[in-house]
Amino acid sequence: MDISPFWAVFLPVLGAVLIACCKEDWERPRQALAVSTSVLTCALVARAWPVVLQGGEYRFTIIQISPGLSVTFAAEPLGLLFAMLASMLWIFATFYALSYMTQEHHRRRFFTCYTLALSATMGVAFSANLFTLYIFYEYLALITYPLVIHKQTAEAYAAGTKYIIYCFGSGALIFLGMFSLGGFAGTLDFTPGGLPELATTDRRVLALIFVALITGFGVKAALMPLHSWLPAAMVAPTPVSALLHAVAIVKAGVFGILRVSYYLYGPESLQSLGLAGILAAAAAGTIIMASVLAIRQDKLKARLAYSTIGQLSYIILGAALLSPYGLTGGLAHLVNHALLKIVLFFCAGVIAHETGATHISQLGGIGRRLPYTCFFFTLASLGLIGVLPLAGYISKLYLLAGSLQADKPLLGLVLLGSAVLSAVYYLPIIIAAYFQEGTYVRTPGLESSPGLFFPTAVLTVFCFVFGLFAHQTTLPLINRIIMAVF
Amino acid sequence: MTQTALLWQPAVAVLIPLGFALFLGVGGKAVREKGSYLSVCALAASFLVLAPLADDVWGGQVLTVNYPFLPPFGLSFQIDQLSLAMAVLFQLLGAVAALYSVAVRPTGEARRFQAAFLFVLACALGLVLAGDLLSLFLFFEAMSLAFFVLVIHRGDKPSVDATIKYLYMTVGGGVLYFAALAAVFVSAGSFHWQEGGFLVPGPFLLPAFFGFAAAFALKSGLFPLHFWMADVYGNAPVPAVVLSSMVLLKTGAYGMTRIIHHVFGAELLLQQGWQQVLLSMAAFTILYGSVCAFSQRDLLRRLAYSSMAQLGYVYLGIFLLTPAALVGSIYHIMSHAVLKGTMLVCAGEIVDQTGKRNVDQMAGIGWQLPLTMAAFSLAALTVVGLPPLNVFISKWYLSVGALAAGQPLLVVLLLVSSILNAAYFLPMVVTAFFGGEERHQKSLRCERLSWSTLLALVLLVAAGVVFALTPDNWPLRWAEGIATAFWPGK
Repeated sequence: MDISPFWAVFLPVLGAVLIACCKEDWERPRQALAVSTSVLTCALVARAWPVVLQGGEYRFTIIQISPGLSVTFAAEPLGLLFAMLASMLWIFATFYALSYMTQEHHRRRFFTCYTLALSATMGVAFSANLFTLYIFYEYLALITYPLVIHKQTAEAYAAGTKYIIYCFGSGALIFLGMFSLGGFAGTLDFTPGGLPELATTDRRVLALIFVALITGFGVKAALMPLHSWLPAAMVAPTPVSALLHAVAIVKAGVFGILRVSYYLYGPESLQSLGLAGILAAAAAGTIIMASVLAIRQDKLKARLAYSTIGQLSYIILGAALLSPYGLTGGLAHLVNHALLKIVLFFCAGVIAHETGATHISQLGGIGRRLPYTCFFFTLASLGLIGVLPLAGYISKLYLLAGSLQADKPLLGLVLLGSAVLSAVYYLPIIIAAYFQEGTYVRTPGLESSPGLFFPTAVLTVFCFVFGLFAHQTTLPLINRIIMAVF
Repeated sequence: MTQTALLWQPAVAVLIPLGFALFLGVGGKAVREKGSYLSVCALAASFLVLAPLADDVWGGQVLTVNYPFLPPFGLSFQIDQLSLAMAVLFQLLGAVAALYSVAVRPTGEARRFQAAFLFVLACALGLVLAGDLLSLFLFFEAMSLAFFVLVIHRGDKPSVDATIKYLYMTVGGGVLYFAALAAVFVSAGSFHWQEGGFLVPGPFLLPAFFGFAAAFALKSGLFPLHFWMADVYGNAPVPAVVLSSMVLLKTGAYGMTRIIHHVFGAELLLQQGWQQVLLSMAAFTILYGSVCAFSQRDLLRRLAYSSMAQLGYVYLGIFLLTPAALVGSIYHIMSHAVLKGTMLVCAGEIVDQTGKRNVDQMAGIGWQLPLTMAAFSLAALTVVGLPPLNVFISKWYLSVGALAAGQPLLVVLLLVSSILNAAYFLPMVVTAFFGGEERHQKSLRCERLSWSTLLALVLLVAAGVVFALTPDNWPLRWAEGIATAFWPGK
């Protein structure tokens, strides 16, 4: 039985151990290890893509604890989508981090945890049941703590403490929900369309468990009012913010919500329980509030953080619409937002690294010093606003169509309003960068170090590729998911 | 007849100026100085790509092509008579505008200006050549967003304020259009248009129409969505205003024609009872634009409101839903582009060379800038509707169309608004030549027209005046051909 995709969970552990064995000043070996680990992991995941696209599946049980409880991996469409996204972006983020962190302290600790976080994310993606998901979810939270507090300032420690409290609190809720659900349903396996056993369980209990699970996962998914760890965590170095807080951790939270909604409960149960409406309302409220709060932020990374909070709720909204178009839009946005947001964070990192500017009010005229970086920023923000042909418009189109299909046009209005608000908080940055007078001057040669510049450039091109060629890249697998759960 | 052989021409016709625009954006010092000439070459090449298709298209063929990227349905181009006419109009007038834009001082930011200028033109070409609602939107947004680079060119506070207003307008219009796209997606499952429209009455019909119409109305300044025009016209560099007037406003009219005839269908519009509202908006645009133009003392803002009123005529013709009215509209699109272009180039020269922007200060200016004011006067007389020149022809067709649609009051509107137009243009012409204390003095002449601006003016004046006077008015025949294509059997 071919279990090669699941080596993607264990290979980074090996890589991390080797990195930990490298001394602090052994730059070259550490770089080689980090890069090769991420590339190999991505390759392993990519091998499973054609098979799963055709309808195949991989499954592997590590431990069977009791009849309904096991640690099992499965490579099936939704998990593979997340795994592929994360592992592919991890490669670029590794190059970026290696270049960014050259002057920082504790690089050995950083890259060990960075690589282990990859293993945790792969574990979350490939979990075949809620128990496995929970284990790797907690593992992910733990292993990212050293990354959040990396700078070891008072602010960093405070952010780290907040982060850990939120993570363990949410973990407890998930554990509670998981335990109860397992007790009632007898199994925690992810089944496309929902567990059939739930049809016979008491409705109120089911509703309570759902609320517990969604609240638990909602913390990492930055659903308001559980979101405040995210802006605090921006104190971490930009490679951490870019990857973990725009791609891996927050998407793991959304992933958990998707798993609970469509692979444990299923659209019919949610419909009959009437729970989707509450989730949709929470998501809609988050979208609006986060967009409004984003406008008031002057720190660039804080503005991006609030933008992330709003955009994540697009995905949750897509899930809560319980319509094929809505879920298509949500899943497409899972991919598109990760891609676009990582470019934005990379640009923010370049700006901070090259000029030390962290606040938007300091960005006047910075287009003179960093023309290409600002151009990448422009393109990525246009993508988030929903401009064709960048990635992003197709998820918004499907989300809007989903809201109409589900007979909830008001939610469509929320999406439209948030698009306008996104323009309000992104366009002024671009105008200030290119059209305001400033003290920045053009420097000769490449505007930032190659390890920072080229990952950003390539990912910006990907923003076009994933937008123009969505039919060839993400949509086929997403269609498979839709067909399975509806 | 529809033919789907591999039609490479529209994509290449758009890619050539697009590529040149990117090249202009990153090129060096030599590019900066020769940039406008490169633009002219790019547009000429683009014209040569499309010209050979003219025979087929005017024979009634509709050429389409679809590329399998750009989800959900791919990027499609479609060339029918209206598309080809608009594309050629943009190419030729764009080249003339590029010639005039040589006048933009070659500062460090000139490169950015020229690149954005050509990019906007390329997107406008893509817009009129697009074959479905999504492809159109791709070019519509790109064009609108790129244009802000031109508006903000000077970088002073009024420019930035005007740009912010413009951006709100653009984003708002884009969001509305996008909502309409989603409504069409859910109700019809396709974005491709067909003769007679493809949408059927249903819950999403009105939101869809509202979204598309509002986006195009914003683009053209149809009342009450005109609020951005005066500020942009007053603060952007004149070549950008020329581009806006010649090209961007017309794309709104083009889009409106398309959605009315090929997305919704004229019968559907009449059935739903929207025609009255639309006609009132157009009528109000004409009146409001004319009255505001009359009260404006700044020359460029006056021309902005005049453009608004003239686009009102175009929309009137579109909304009347009769063949004759459509002929008038399309002919007016062409004439207004040329005539307003002429007037704006002249206005630009006046501002550049004398520093005067206020119409009250322009007494006797005809002796300082004789050629410029001669061109302006000719254009002004034409715009007012002097027979047998262009605008008279358009208004004639509009009147015939109004009577055919059972709206005789609109003929009265056309007459009244013509008087208003005369009221704010003719005095300018008169005081320019007969208003100053010193007249007929050669020593007053201080005109310094660069050869490119002179050429641009000559071409525009010729285009504006010649066709109406020739026995074979082929732009008019084009317009008639288009109307016949849209109203088969009438």
